[in-house]
Amino acid sequence: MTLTDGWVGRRVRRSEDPKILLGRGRFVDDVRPTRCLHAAFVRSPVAHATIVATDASEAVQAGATVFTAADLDPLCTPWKGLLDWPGLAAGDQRPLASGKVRHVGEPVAIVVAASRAEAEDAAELVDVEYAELPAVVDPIAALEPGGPLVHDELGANLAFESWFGTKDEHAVDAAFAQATAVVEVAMSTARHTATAMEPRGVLAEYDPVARELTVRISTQAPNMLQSAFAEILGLRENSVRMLTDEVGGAFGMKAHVYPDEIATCAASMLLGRPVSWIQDRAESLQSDTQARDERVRAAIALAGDGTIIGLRSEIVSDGGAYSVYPRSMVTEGIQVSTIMPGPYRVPAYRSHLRVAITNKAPLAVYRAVGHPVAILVMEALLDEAARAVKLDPAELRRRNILKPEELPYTSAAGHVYDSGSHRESLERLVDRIDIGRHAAAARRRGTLLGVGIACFVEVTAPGVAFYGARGAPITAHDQVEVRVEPDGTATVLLGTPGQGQGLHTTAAQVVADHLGIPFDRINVLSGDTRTMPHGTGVWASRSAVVSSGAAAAAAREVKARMLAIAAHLMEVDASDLEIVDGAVRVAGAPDSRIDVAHVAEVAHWRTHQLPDDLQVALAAIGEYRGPNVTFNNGAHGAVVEVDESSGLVRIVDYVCVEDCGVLINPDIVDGQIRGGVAQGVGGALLERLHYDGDGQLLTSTLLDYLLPAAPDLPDIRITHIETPSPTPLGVKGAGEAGAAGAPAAVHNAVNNALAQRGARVWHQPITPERVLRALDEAADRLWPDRSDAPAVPRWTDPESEPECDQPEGDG
Amino acid sequence: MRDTHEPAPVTARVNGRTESAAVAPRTTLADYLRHGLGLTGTHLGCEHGVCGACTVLLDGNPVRSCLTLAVQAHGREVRTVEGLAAPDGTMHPLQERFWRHQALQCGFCTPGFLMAALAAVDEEPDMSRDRIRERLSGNVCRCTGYQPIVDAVEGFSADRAAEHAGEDR
Ligand code: FES
Ligand code: FES
Repeated sequence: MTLTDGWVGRRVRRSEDPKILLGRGRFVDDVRPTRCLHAAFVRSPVAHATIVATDASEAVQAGATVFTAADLDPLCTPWKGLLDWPGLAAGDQRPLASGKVRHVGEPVAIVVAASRAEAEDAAELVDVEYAELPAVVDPIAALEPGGPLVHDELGANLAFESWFGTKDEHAVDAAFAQATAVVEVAMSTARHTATAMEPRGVLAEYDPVARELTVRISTQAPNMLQSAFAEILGLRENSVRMLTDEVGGAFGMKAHVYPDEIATCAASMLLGRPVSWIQDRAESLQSDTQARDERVRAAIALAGDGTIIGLRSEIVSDGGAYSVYPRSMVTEGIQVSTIMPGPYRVPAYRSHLRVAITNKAPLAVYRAVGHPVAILVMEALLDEAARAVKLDPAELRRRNILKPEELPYTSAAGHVYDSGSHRESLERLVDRIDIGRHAAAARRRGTLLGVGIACFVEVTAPGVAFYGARGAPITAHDQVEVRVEPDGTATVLLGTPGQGQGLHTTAAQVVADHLGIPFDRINVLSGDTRTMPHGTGVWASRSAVVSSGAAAAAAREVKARMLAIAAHLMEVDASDLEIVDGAVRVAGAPDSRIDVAHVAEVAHWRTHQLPDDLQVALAAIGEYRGPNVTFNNGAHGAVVEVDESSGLVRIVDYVCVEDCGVLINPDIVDGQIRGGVAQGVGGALLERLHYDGDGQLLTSTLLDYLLPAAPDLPDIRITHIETPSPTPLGVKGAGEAGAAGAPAAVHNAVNNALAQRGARVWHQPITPERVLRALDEAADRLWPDRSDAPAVPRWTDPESEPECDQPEGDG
Repeated sequence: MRDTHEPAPVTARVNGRTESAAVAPRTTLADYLRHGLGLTGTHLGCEHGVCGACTVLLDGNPVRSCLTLAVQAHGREVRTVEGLAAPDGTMHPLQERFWRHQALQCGFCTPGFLMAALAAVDEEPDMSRDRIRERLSGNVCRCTGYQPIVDAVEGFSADRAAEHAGEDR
């Protein structure tokens, strides 16, 4: 494995950027066909109610067309995300609510008119009568028998329950019984959402004659949606065409079947005209999939020297009202449970997970799925343990973190860490943080200074085991076509388009190296399922591994064909030839060469010069073959100042050490890490979808739902370690590592600061109010009103609960 | 009183061209630019004035085109992202800097940042990194973590200062 020798490894400028910078990108709302109609939705204003009656007569009088469930249900098969996990139960989802509404923002009617403004006006005129039902809001209370049910037919609000970890449950009890120190934490992370800057949107065009549906859509998984839409709408898969050009961010949120998107397609089918629906921000905060709604109790057992001997966790995941199709509502909870042991030697681990159904928008995957919560809890435990056994937090980690000679290592939760630099990442992080540098400024400002570290592993590029093998239309491999044009330029067709990660650039870099044609003569295309090879979309930090792996395979095949043709033309043996920078030459004799363009010309137009048995098609589809998963790893460190008078937390330094194997384009990887850290900081300090006791969403604008802005973040200092993975290119995924570790590093830094006053915070986001309360309570100044901290589950006894084997996951 | 839906005339200079149209008075400047004139480079991320994606320059000042009515642009000068590059397509130096520093990923926020940053640098040619962060705090980027945007704006300011120093000599 050569690490970097060619285009791979270079900080090449992204080929995607010029058209966007010039304002010529094409996002969903930038395309309007003739005769296009526009849709708006009537959405539920309440969390839980029976729909008594719907009166659309005024809207119809105003010239709009209104469809309700009664109109669309005959066109659509209901769906739900039921992976083959034992016992997983969920209610049906339909394009429009039928009978009952189950969360604020659930679509009830679609209103179609000549313009979006007219559709919105008409939607105001639709009168829906609701009979309100008690809302199921608290996920722990939801699991108690006898309460209101979100889906009556399920008989309970428990979607899924399982135990994960070491097979021998007594091993954990024994470890805790022997421990010198036991530390327990009870923590929660708040429901938040991806908040892609481009809202969701869809432009559906149905051709009733050909029975073909063309869908321009803001998604990260066009081929998956092609299959899902065909299945739901009763069309042939080759009659459903998904188009995506630019996608303005997705982060896991645009990988699902959404009712409003299906309803827009169904409306186009009923009307025989193009229908466009572009989401507004209130709709996105109400109806995009949400994430990170986890409550965790966890305990760690240590020997006297700080060695970890046991770990247990009790997790309740708030899954919301529906199990999204096809990924389901359980992935996040499962990963909170199974990632928790992290890069540490944990000999015995038991974890109990329950996923509750509540009257909130569906919970699904969001960048780093479950990892941020798992890492937060583990790293908070380690900091508390370090305090308990009076060890430096870095030293405690050092004593427990995996060493290179222990790899591959199977974690107590069953994950196989294939490669990595766990110990080295920690050491490099510690070297780069200098808290002393910040002490004077903190003193001057009168703030409490704190430092926090967090080490992590992350699932990347998972194989078919997690979804496909469990019945979902989500595959593990991707196809990429590489072809050489008659003039010697190359075209690459990607099965998986990106949403800003620079996949076109990285694919071109990889193809340049494996084909021998320079980067700037390679054109990369994606985004039309009718003409592109099959790909399963961007998820779980997979594209660099899977898509690039497939591109390399295709490039190698085409190169072999070019070499065979060149060998004939040059009358040498193909094995003596190499292709460098667009020229085929005899290895060791660089003067004897012909241009790739000449080979391509012969292969296209002068095939009479070639023997009959030579393959002349300079095009091939490559596929990715590799291990079922590869884990990246690294460490995060944050330095914060906490202002005791305002409760505000300011991050003054941030360091990330990251090992994602071979770097295809370091600038792109850095961008992924910084963006991920920003989202992690958002979760730690700012972001919370606030549902009140009635299930009403109080945060439905970007004034209430706070996102990190430029002043909220410092410059993020990044160190790379390149430990090759056992995948064909030695690459690992990198897209989620930033988001995975940041909440833990920031949280530990805040608690490190607060510990100087004997205080701690346990719930995210760490709002000023929570900081002030913690400081006051530590000083025995009790607040009269109740804290806003959510309840955390109590321990349950492991009796005869179901148990699941744990393979790969969604990163 | 005029009917609120009766089209009103708007004549504005948009990226150096005079454009005239009759638009419903409630039409936002963003919708007029995007769908009336086909200038879809200006993006809408929130439509309630928080994200800054829709920022354009109105008589040189940054405005949120989602909160500005098209009729308010009457008789005024509008500059959008499409108006930054030279007529032959050469990128504006700020666009160049964004490209060089990879100050965009999905690029949805980018037009708004370009316009806001241009106005900021015009007003304050010599901003510190912290000051750049403050000046751009009205624009949200969900992808980059802002650092490369700050790099790009810092670099652009330095280029400009160097250019002006050259001119003064
Ligand atoms: S779209 Fe105008 S500020 Fe967000
Ligand atoms: S680049 Fe995607 S929001 Fe800024």
